[in-house]
Amino acid sequence: MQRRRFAVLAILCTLVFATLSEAIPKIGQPAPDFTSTDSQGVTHTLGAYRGKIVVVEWTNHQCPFVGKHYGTGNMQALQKYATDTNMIWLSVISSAPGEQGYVSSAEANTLTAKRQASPTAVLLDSAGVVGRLYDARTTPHMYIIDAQGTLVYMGGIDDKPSTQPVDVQTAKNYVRIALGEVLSAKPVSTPITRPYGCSVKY
Amino acid sequence: MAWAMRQYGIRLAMAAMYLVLVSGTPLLANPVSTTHVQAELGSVVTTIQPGTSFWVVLHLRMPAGWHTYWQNPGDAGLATAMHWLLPAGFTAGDIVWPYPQRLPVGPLMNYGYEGAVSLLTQITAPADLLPGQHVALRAETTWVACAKICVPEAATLALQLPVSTETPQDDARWKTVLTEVQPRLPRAAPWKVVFTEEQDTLTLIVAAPDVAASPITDATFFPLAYGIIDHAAAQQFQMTEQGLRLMLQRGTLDPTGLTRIEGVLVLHEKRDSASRVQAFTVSALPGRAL
Repeated sequence: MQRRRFAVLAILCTLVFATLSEAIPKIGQPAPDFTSTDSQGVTHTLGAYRGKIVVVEWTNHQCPFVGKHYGTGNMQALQKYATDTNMIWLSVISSAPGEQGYVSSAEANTLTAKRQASPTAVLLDSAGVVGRLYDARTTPHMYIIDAQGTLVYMGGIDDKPSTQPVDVQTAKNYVRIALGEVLSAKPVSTPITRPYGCSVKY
Repeated sequence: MAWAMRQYGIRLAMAAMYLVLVSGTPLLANPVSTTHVQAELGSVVTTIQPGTSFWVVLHLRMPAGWHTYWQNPGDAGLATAMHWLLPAGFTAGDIVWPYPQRLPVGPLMNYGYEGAVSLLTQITAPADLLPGQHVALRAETTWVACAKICVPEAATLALQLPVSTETPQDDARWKTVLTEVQPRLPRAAPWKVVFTEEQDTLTLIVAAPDVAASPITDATFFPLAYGIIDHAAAQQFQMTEQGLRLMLQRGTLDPTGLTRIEGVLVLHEKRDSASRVQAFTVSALPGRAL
């Protein structure tokens, strides 16, 4: 009897867990809240940034698709535009230890300096908790959360899925367009696009 | 004597140049081996007949554990692409893709090919093409090869074929490659296919009473577009008297106003101990449950 009760409980737990883990982020809904530690050892909670526009970028410096956007300065320019306009930019590294793109705090800081990147913070999510919460699939994979905490964009950085640096020139940068729209209190014209890149190395 | 030697030297040089131009070996690379893939272009015919179409094959060979991608790569990666550089008057069709495999990567799902893949392109020659000449067909080809990590690679491949008014002969090797890939090429589904939307799922309903009695052991749908279905989610099929129903987890795109779902449906069946796989292109319209 006791055992059967335990089995039922186990099944219920599994069902609840399965339901929770499949609650993928939805456009127009509150962005899932999270707390994560950055490469300086500082803790960031998404909810604490209410009132500001937040950009979340999944990254892996060894991924060639990420390389295209940092090598051309495209990602840094976007970061600068965002932080110059009082937005928060969180770069998230969800690579598991031993996997491609996994870095220590010191390595993360060196990368930021070397690439002249200007995120507000680089979150070290080696357990993949934030990545799975946001259903982050690729590097890069971009999300925008408005000042009310609503998820308003998720998807690719632009419309040219390639590793060719030259494509950055002609690509339609969905993130820049969406940020412009959010800044001027307009609805995001293309809220969901295909993220393209390497798989997140969970 | 010195003059004769010089003449001989010049002739030798000219002969070498001629060989380079005609055989084209140094100019026309094929096959090309990159770090992770061997890429080769082959023609199913040995000569080009003016005004006709013929098949060329891009054959990619990947080492164990590595894959390249289908036209919808799934959650990550990138489809193999060909940009043709053809002589005036020639045209190339889109890539014809064999059905892919589901390739799970952690919680994600990619669609692609392991081992090797043959991608087909139909080339059409202009009617006013002069016989007797050699024609070079070049393709700038790019792909992303992935194991755990991904490496973008590229090669400019080229084929040279003589033009002849004769009916073309088959190239034995590439004809075999074509014959081998043919069962993997999707053909138009001979049934009506509709989809219905539920809370978190989309159901493909295939009106195929003839299939209902088949010993189907597995059914998999590969969508052409991103965001329609959750690529990684399990797909559940059900045989009914009217045919087949396939339950798909919805993707990130809101299906409201979705007017068509296009993709490839792969059916596995087992009769006695023989298994057979068939692939169909599907263009499902919104519909009511049957």
